[in-house]
Amino acid sequence: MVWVAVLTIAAQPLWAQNISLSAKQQPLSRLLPELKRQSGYQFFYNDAMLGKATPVSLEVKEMPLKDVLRIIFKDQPLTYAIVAKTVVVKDTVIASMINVEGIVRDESGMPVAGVSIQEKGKAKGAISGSDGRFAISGVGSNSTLLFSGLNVEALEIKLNGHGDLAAVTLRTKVTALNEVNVAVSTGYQTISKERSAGSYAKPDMKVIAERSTSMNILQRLDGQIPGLVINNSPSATADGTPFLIRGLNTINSDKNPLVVVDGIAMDVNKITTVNPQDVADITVLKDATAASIWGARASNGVIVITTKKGKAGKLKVSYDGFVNFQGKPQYDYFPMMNSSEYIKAAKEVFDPVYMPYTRATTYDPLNSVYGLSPDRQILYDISRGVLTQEQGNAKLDSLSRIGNLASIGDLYRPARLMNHTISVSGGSEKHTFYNSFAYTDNQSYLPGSSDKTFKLNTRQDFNFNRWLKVFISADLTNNNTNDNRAIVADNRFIPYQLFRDGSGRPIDMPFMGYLSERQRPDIENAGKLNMNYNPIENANTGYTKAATFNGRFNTGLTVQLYKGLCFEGMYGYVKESGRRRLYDDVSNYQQRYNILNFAVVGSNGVVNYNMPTKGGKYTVYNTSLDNWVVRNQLYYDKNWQGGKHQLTALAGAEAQQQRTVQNRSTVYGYDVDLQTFPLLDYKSLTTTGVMYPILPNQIDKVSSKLSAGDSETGAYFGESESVPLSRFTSYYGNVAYMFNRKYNLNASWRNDQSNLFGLNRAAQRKPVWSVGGKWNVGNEPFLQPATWMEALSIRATYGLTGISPRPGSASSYDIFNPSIVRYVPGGQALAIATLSNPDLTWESTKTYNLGIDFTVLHGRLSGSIDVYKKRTENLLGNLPVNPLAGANFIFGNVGSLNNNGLDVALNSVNLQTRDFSWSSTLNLSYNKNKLTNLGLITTPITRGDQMIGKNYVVDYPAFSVFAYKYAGLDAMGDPQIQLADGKITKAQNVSKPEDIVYKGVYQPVWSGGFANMFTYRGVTLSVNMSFNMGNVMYRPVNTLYSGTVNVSYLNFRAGNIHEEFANRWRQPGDEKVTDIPGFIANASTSSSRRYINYYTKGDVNVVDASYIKVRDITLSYQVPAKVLQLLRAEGLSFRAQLSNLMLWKANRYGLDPEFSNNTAPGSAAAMPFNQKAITVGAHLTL
Amino acid sequence: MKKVVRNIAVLSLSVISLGSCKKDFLEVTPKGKLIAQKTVDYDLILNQSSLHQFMTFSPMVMGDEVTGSPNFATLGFGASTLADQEAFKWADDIYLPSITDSEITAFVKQVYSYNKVIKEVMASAGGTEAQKKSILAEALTGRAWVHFMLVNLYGKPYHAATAATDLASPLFMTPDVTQTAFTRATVQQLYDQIIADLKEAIPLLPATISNRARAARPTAQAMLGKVYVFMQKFDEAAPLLNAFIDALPQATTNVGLYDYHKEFAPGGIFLPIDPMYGPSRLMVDLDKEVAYMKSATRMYAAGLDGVILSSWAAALFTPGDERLRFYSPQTWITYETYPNGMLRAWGQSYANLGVTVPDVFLLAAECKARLGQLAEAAEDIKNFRLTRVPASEAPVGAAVAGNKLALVKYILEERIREMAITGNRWLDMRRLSVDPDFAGTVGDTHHIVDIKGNITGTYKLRPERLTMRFPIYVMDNNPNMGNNP
Repeated sequence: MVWVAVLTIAAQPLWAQNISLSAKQQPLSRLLPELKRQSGYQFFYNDAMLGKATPVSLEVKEMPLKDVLRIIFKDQPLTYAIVAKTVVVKDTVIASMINVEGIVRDESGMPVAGVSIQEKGKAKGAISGSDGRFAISGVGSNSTLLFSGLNVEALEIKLNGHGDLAAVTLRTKVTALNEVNVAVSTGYQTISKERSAGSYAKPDMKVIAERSTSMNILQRLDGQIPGLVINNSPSATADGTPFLIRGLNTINSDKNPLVVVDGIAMDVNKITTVNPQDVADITVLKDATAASIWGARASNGVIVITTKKGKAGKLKVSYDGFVNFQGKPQYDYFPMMNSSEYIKAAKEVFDPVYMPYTRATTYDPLNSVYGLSPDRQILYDISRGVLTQEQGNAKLDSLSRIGNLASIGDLYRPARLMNHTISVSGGSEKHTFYNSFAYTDNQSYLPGSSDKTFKLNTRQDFNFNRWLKVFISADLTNNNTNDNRAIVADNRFIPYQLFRDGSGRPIDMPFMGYLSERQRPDIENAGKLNMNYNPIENANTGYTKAATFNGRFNTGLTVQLYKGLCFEGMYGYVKESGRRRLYDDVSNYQQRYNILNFAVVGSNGVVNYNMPTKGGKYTVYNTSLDNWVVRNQLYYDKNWQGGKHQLTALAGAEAQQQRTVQNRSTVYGYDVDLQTFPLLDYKSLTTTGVMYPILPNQIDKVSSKLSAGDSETGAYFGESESVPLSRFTSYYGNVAYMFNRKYNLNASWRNDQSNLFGLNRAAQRKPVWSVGGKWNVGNEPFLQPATWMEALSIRATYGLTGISPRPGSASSYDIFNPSIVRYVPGGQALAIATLSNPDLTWESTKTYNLGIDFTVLHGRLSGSIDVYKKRTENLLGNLPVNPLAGANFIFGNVGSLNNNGLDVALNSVNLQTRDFSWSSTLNLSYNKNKLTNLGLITTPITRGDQMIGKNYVVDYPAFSVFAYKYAGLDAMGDPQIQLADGKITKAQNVSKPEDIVYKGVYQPVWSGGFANMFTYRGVTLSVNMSFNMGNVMYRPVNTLYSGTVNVSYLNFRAGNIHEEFANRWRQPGDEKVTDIPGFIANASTSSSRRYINYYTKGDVNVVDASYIKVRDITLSYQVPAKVLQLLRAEGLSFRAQLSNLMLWKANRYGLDPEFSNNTAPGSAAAMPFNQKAITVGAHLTL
Repeated sequence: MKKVVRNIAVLSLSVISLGSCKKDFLEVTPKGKLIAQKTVDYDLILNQSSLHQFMTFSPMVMGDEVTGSPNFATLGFGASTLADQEAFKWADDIYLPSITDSEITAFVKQVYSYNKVIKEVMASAGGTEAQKKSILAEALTGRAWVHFMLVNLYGKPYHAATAATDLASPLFMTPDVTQTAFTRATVQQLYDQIIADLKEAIPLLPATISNRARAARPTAQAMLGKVYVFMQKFDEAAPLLNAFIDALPQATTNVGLYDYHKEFAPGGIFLPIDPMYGPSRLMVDLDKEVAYMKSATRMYAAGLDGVILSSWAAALFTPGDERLRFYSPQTWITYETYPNGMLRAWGQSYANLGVTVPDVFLLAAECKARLGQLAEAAEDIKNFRLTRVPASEAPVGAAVAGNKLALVKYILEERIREMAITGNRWLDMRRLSVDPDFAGTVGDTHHIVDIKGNITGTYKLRPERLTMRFPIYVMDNNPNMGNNP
């Protein structure tokens, strides 16, 4: 039989939505080309097939294509299916040899070129073209097609060519092609999404590849994965929750998702060693069925990253490069006073009675006494009579006329991120390869710093024969960073202090150090050492240089054993070796101070320094990371009865080890060039120390000691395991069965055992498992008539995942740390590190997931919706215990929490003509969680004050924000609150829990992304927005209500006063117009009379933290094919990108929540940077 | 056939590799961490510095020998807290609710370690029976000391008639941090336990003092003697206190009384006298007079000048008393002279509340005086004073030496001269308040004065404040325990 495949590209200028056609007894062979012309759709058919069709008469005007097709194919021995913009015509009578045609697309609908499609055991085959299309004629109807290529490796599709399901057969074939598009990788296996009931999500890899603000692949996922919240705010960073999949699952364990690269788990902090350009595919595993294969580490979800491989065919060389211009940081971001406001305020609050001059100028760093800022020096000089009022005022007036914003700006340079990646790939049937070389230059905004990375990544795949495949890969990263001692300043620094004078000379600021100008001359004379400080000159007195080499080496083999049974071995080794050197010369201010700490003036005035006065302090850290994984598994894949039953099963064992050892040495007086240093008497410096030095550093104020601990300021050598030796052995298995391509059942099981120190073995016997089912409703015959629906499936899963305590962090026994105590016998002691908790057990999460996947309207709209419930029990955490029990807290099972939520992913093709298309993607996730129990041994909350600042309170969500119900000021300018009974008070310690207002959570409730992509010929414009909503934050308010205003030690982000200070209460009556409490210099008077937190932690200062940002707008241009031919290139594109544009924010204070949400304890507002960054990039393929 | 052989080979290889993880693969211990198992581990537990030193001891500012200085308002400045101001005022609740470090939390952490050693050391591996018993005895001594502090902070002074019903702190007998319910024990129960622990420990302890941080038989005897003094059982106390004094020469570490004349002479260890910080007595672990180290940080002798020695206490010294060198007549930094002869402590940055040699000497003398051995007591006091004052000032006046009440009162005053602003006076005030002969010697007024001597604040000690209240956060966690009134 001769088959002629007709693949025609329609070439008409206009695209018609609807069909107008008039025909009388016309053969299909004439009608279909006309439909193709009018609709712009592709048609797959062959002439012989059409020969069987009866001619058709019809008269239609402006009728949708699908209705026209329904009429034409009525009562024909043919049927058809519409997939995306393609109409596939099929014979309902099955021949023994059939034709296979299709398009291979990836999950985002982009065609995939170079996929090899081969009939199993036969020579017949084809490679998909640049548009993803392929056609193979004369394939046995019962044969199996083997798809291999970038994303479709070793996927076999049984052509179910048997008679009674003829109509489905066509569909099946088409569906099977779809299946190729959405293979998901669990890190242990790659399976078709159709066959798994799990909840997976995949990003648009084009957006990921082009997003250029960061070389961290995880950061590039922002807004791309429903259910993955990326939150870079200070609160989330302090809390360790920048990445959250489906809410919070643990309180004190690692909250990050597990990240898996090429099948091997990777520390989330090392993810920057993966070049985003090398990434082929990312799958995010969200529910128990998807993730439980990862066992004890999967509760937080899993992000599986697969890197690129070569593919057989033409040698391909690609280049991708971009430069991302980030500009200077927003150093004027904070709502602080300008110089004249500041000087005015400083005068108002100056109180030399509360803080006498001698006390304010006497060296006493333990009580935060440092130098005096120039304005305070003048104020003291006036009050001491050194200056007259007029002289002083004149000096202050001149300060108030200086603004230092430009001077701060000159401290910075524009930041820039640049990456160039060249890859070479290709190969033959026997051997394929992918090699890439990358260079990244990350230039921060601090002059003098650098951060450069070179990478070499290679992967070789060998197909020795039909039963043996081996791969080997190496990903080598070399990173060098260099930092000096440059300061970071912003407008929170005193606003009149310039950094350079009119002629550009750096200005001295000795007052930023430990000594007042009153004491400095005497101390300099005594110590014979200059104690001036110049921030700009000091920048070059020291450096931190780090060189890190990281190598990931993986190898693996696949052995086909017997009829669908194969053995897979996977062996990974990660080695990292880092060397970090810190040098601070004696010219460095801190080093000069350190010398005076130990310098003693003899009776004859001769100084005995006890510390070297030449060279510098030199510290070297050597870090060595060794991780390995050995994994052996048996994989079984079988289908029978013509694909009616499909079974895959996996069973394996894994052993792994992680350890990072760091050692450090510190010497003083090091000469970098000669590599020499004097020997010090460490024993006496750390034990008795030096008595009566010039500047004592001990609390007794008469002595100085070197710290005896293992730190840079202490002992000369230290070694520690920064990642303690952790070992796991694991056994796992899973099975997936599909009946008739409609009904799926999945089950998985895994048991991990680890060397968790001191943990009862019984606590380890906690296997995790999952079960799931999926119904491909779309394949049911009763839905066949619904031609508008291409695919529909319903999934349900349930399972258990867990989190184990870190080694040494928790125990069923008391754990002790060695310590040094100088006066005891032997000088050694054991101090309690972790108190025992005999009830300790693993944390476990039960997850229920219900999902639906659909494709409708001829592929125009597709999506998935998942709802989930997670129940976490036995939360691990620092358990506050009864204060009479002998500890502040122990590590234990704190209680339970639950998460409920919704993930929605929608993709739509809004408009599609030949030249223009517009598609949109919406990813949306909603998460609500609640702490249902905090265990038996929890601190009872009996007073309202206890709730303020607590983020984890029973019956409230995690990340809760509580506030006082602020009731304004009283007639003394003191803050008041309203209690639940309506009473207004300023008394301290009166609030009960019911008097406290719950304001919401500081992590987003709603989160996601909305992307639009417009393509016109070779030009693509994509706009990706991401949003975090429904959360709240404390806004930054004035905190100066008592004490003294002054600079703090070498801190150029403090010293200024919040602009709202000017609006504070000053006199009775002001309480009617202001909420801001008055100022009382005497701290004791202030704190005994009133409670300032009633205002600063009042509900009036909690604001909505929602925002929408345009994460990036990308304009890319694909050079036309004609030009490419001239250039002998396969592809060339250019792109320009604008990143991080605030679109909308809910607060009216101009706060960017990504930088100002510092609601979590321990977090601090940060200076915004990398906003409105601009990128230009190019991609060339030869 | 070849294929079958190959398949079998690969399969068996994979099975071997699956099962080849040896058991000891998981048996590794993280570096730098340890579970106590060996006898020597328990020995090292007793070395941890938190058992020997602590930060907070409010009674230091609660004795009647102190006055609030002109700088009292800045007492909370910097590192210190408002709690000391409130303690000085004998306020009901001296700790803010947010403060979670108080006397009782430091002491219950210590008692956890002691209880752990008591419970486990006898079953530990690698030590001899005698070693284990010695470690056990040291832990019992430590537990007794903790309970002695707790009963004297939170229970009423020991009064035989009411001790069985007066509530003090809970008894802490088990190392289990998951305990949630604590019940206050009576003063009698605490004293009974203290005595039982010390009596069990004394025969098992090492006979000689070899390290200040560790217990020995003489120190436990001295401690039990002091406990009996606080129960007014002077006859039982006396032999124990004397046993300690008799054992001093056998000590293998340098323990005994300093001769102040020698130590303030050239080459003496109290020198140099820094113009800002005073003499050099800053290392508790090198202090000869510390026999059993339980030392609290003494801020008011190391710079902070919120609380100073009152006029009446300063007037107790004879002019040649070398101990006056541990006081400065001037304010800190600003060098103004205090009015009315008041003095600022300086030069000794700790207060030992364990077993201190001069404390035991004075307690022993007090016992002798109270038991009617007046001549011996007067002789002992004279010998003691010879190490502190010129020989001419050392003898106790004949009128005092011959009168029991006067002699005891003199010894009590010597205790103030010896141990002012350390908290010991507060403990004495409590025991004297239930002693009809000396209740009248207990002051009940605190003043704050300015630099001209004007009184700017007056506070009265109410009888119920002889016991401290449990801090608010402790009560938050134990609402059913019931606080002191």
